[in-house]
Amino acid sequence: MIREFQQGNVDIFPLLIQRHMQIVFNLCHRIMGDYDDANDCAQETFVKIYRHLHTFKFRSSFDTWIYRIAVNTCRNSISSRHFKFRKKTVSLDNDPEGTRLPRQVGDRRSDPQVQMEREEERKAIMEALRSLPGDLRILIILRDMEERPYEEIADICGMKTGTVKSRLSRARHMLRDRLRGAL
Amino acid sequence: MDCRDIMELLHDFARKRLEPTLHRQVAEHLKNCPACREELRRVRRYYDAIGREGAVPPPPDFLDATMNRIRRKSSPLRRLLGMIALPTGPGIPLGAAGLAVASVIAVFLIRPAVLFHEGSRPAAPGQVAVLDTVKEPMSVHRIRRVLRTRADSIPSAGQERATDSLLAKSYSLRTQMKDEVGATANDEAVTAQDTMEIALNVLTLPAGDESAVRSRDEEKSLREFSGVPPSAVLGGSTATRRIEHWKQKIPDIGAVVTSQQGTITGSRQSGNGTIYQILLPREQYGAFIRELGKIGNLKSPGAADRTGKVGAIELNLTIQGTR
Repeated sequence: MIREFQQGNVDIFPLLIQRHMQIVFNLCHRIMGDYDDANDCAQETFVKIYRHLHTFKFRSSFDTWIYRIAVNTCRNSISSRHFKFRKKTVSLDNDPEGTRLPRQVGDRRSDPQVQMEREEERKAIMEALRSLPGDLRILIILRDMEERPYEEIADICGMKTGTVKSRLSRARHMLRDRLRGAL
Repeated sequence: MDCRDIMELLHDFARKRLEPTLHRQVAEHLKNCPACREELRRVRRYYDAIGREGAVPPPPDFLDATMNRIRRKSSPLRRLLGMIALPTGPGIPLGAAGLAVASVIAVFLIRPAVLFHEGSRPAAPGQVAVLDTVKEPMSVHRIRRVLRTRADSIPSAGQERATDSLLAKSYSLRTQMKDEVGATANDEAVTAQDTMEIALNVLTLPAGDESAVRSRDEEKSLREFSGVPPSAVLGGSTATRRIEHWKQKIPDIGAVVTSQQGTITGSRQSGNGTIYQILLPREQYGAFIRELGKIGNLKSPGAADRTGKVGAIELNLTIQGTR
């Protein structure tokens, strides 16, 4: 599909969007912590993919390439003046639009008390995660939520694997401090 | 390994991502260390919790909205801007590099109308009608709308009114370049004129000495000169080197104009820039713009693979049609 696009068949691009929009949107949502911001960043990511796809040289996997663009788009957005000065009222954890996909009902959820405690725990973690500096948050998301290997994270974020590990360690220490008593 | 080492490994241990030997060592330590076992319990609860974080689907109109955005952002003018890519290099913060180079790319600051003509004025047959330069930052769509309104409002000799064909166009666009690569200026509204007069302001860059180590004052003045905000950290010699690099790449305006059957009808110095007035056959306009767009080839190797380089560039373009 990529080669076809590079050979001039741009009509194939909607298909490419359809194939990747879920992972891109989800990643943007995790990083941005807001549905509208995620929508904006995910769209912008595909605009960039459209513009740069002709330069994709197959040196890395396409997924890694997309992740890199999405992460950088989110980074730009986070560091933009508009984002910094905007009063964020929507928590990463909140789902005011009711947009989150229904989760599988597991056996542990059968007890309402357990379910509530788990939900509180999840909220506390997401809140702590949201309070981390943007770059550290992105590393945690890529490693712990997206389950990407260190080498790929290094590629996505444009840093050395050792740097990824040391920053992840720092991020986890910060997270641990912020979750003290909650877990 | 002590507890501190073990704790560093617990995340990978909990997810079974350690090499077998290391995994066994950690497991052995855990047998005899309640503190690390407690930490492992926390780590597992953490993964349990984030594993319950459900996926969020994009809105139903995501595909359509994205395609519309792509079409919108692929408008001709934006494509021209996009051709002016931003270089990056090791040792220079991406933001600073982007910003600095975007400033240096002022080599193609095209800002004629405000220098040659102030405000709009009526056009008599055979004369040039000029519209205001739009100075405030706004979207391309908004600029087009404003210009069309202004063109309509100019009474021409014989009480004719300019209607569909703009006698002059003027764009002023200040935009975040980011990593948009793609684009060419809008020429669709230029109609039915034999020649166009285009004024370019080509910034003259100072001679730089790559080996020179600049003093802080020189550095400061260099920054001011190149328009880099004081917040952008850029070493003096590095900045000079960059400027020199781009200076060498600037196409010869005379050659570009001649190759498009145009003539330079006048030029003058203005500040650090040279203002050229160029008379160009209307049908050559597109090709001329494409030639200017060759500056897009200046992007550094691999730049297109990267994203997130942000810089601002201001571009004013006036196209004057005679009637």
